[in-house]
Amino acid sequence: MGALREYFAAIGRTIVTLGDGLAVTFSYLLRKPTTIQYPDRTAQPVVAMLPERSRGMLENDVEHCTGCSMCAKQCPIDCIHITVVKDEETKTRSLTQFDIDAGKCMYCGLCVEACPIGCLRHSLEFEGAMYDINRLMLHFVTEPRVVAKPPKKGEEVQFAPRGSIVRKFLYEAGARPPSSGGAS
Amino acid sequence: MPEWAQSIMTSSITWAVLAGVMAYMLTLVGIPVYTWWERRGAALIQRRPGPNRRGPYGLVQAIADAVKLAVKEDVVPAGANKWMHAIAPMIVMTVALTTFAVIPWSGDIELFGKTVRLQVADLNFGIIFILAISSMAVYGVTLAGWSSNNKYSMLGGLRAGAQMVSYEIALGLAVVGMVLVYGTLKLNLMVAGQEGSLFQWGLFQAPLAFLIYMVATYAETNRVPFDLVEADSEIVAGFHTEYSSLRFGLFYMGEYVHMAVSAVLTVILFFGGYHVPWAHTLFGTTPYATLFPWVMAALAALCLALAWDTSRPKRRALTQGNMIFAAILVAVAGGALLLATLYGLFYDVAWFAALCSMVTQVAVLVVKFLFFFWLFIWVRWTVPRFRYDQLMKLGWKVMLPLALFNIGLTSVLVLAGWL
Repeated sequence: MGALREYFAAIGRTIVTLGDGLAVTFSYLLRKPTTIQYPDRTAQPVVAMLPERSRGMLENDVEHCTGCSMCAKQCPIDCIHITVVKDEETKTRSLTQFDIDAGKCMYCGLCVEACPIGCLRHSLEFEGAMYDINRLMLHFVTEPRVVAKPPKKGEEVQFAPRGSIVRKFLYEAGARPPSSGGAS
Repeated sequence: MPEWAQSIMTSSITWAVLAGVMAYMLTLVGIPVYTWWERRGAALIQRRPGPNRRGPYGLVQAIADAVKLAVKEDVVPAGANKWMHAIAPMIVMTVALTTFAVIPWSGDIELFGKTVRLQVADLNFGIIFILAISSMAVYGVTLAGWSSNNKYSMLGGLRAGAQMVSYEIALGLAVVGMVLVYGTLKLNLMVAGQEGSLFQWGLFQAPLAFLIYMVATYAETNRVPFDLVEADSEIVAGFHTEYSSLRFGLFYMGEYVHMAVSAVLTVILFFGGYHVPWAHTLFGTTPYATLFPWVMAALAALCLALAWDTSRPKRRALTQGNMIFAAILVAVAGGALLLATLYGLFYDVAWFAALCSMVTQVAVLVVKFLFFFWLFIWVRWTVPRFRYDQLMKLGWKVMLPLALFNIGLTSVLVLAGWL
C-alpha cells in the first residue's frame, strides 16, 4: 500500500511543483527586461559608458610618434605596418606609412605597452562594422611627416583626446556613427 | 433575402469551406505570428526585450523569418534517400493539417429552417479520426531521421519512433476515458455535452484524464519537456538536422500546426469547446447572440488600446509602419463597433442573430485556444528536458497504469450514474 501511496503522492507533487514553476516564469514575464536595448535606448553612447581601461580599437597620435617601430616588432600577428624614410640631404627621418589593420588586431595590447612615447594607445571605440573588410586598414599617416623628437625628461606630452583620431578614420572609412544615446 | 442567397447560406458546403478557411487562418496564416509569439514570450520570460525592431512589437520580424526560410538554398545531403527525404516533411505537414477537418468551430445554428455548423466533416468517429491521422506523423519524423544519412538525424528518428508510440497509448487511453464520460465519438456532441455549468466541463468530470492528456499531448507534439526528438543540446536538431529551406519550414510549420490541433482538442475535450459556463442562466435563451455585442466591444477595445500604444510618440520614433498598423487597428475596431450596432438594430432578424451567435462561439473557442497555445510556450521556458530513460519510465510506468486506472474509475462512475 505504501508504494501505491508514494505513486499517487508523486503525481500530486508533480502538479504542485509544475504550478510553482509556471508561477515563477510568469512573474518573470511581467518584470522589466534587465538587458539594455543596444544601441539606441541607452542613456548615453555606449562608448561613454565603457570602463577607463577597456581595450578598444588602436589609434596612434602621429604628431608625437618617433617612428621607432617598437609596436610593429611586438605585434604577434603583424597588423601594424610602419615605413620610415630617411632624407640624405636634410638628415631627417620621415614617417610615410603607419597602418593598423583593425580587422586583424586582436586587442592584446602588447604594442601599447611597448610604445615608449605613449602615442599609440587603445581608444574606447569598438563599432567598426564595414561593408568591406579592407577598409578596416586604417592609414594614420596621410602624407609623409618628419618624425617627432622623443620628449625630454619631465616634459609633458599633450596627446589628442582619446578616441578622436580613430573615430575620424573610422567614419571616413564608412563606419556608421553611433546613434545618439538618450534619444527615443 | 433572395432564394439563391438562402440556398448558399444553408448549404453544408459553404460552411465546410468556411470551417476550412478558419482552420487555415489559425494555422498557416497564424504560424508567422506564433513564431513571433514564441520568441517574444521566451524573451520576456528571460527578461530581455526579444524581437522588437521591425514593425510594431517586432511583428514584421515574423514575415522576415518566413521569407528568409523560403529563399534559402535547399540542400539534400549526399547519400540521402532523395525520395524519402522529400516526402517526410510533406507527411508531417499534411497529417497535421488533416486533423483539423473534424474540429467543430461552433455549435448548431438554425438558418431558414435548416441546421448548420462550422465544421468541415461531421464524422461519427471524429475523435478516432484525429488519433488515427495524427499518429501518422511519427512516420514523417522517423522517415526524415532515417533518410537523411546522418547519425544525429537517425538518433532523432529513433527517439521519435519510441516516444511518439509510447505516449500515443497514454493519450488514446485518456481519450477513451473522455469518450466514456460523453458517451460519443463525435466531437460536436462532446462539446454539446459540456453545456451548462462550469462543472460540466471535461476538466471537472475527469481531472485525471486531463492530466494524462496534457502530458501525452506535449510528448506527441515533441515540445519541451519532451523534445528529445530534436534536443538541440544533444543531437544538433534531431530528425531535421539535414533539412534546410522550405523543407525545414514544413517541419517547423508542422510542429506549430500540431500544437494548434492539440490546443483546440484540449479545449474541445476538457474546456467546454465554444461554451461559456452558465451561459443560459446568465444570458437568457439565446446567450451567444446576446454576448455578440460585448465580444465586439471587447475586440474594439483591444484594437484601440493597441493602436494607442503603437502610435505613442515614443514608439513612433522607431518606425512609421507603426502608424499604418495603428490605422488598420482603428479600422478593425470601427468594423467591430459597426457590427455591434447592426446587432442592436437587427437582433430580431432570426438569421442575423444566428450568425452573430456563431461568431461569438468561434471567438470563445479561439480565446480558449490561444490560452492553451500560450501554455505550450509558457511550459517550454519553465520545464527542463527529460532524460531519455526518464521519458520512457514516465510513459510506461506512470502514464499507462494511470490511464488504465482512469478508465476503470470513469467506467465505475459512469455506471453508478455520477457522471
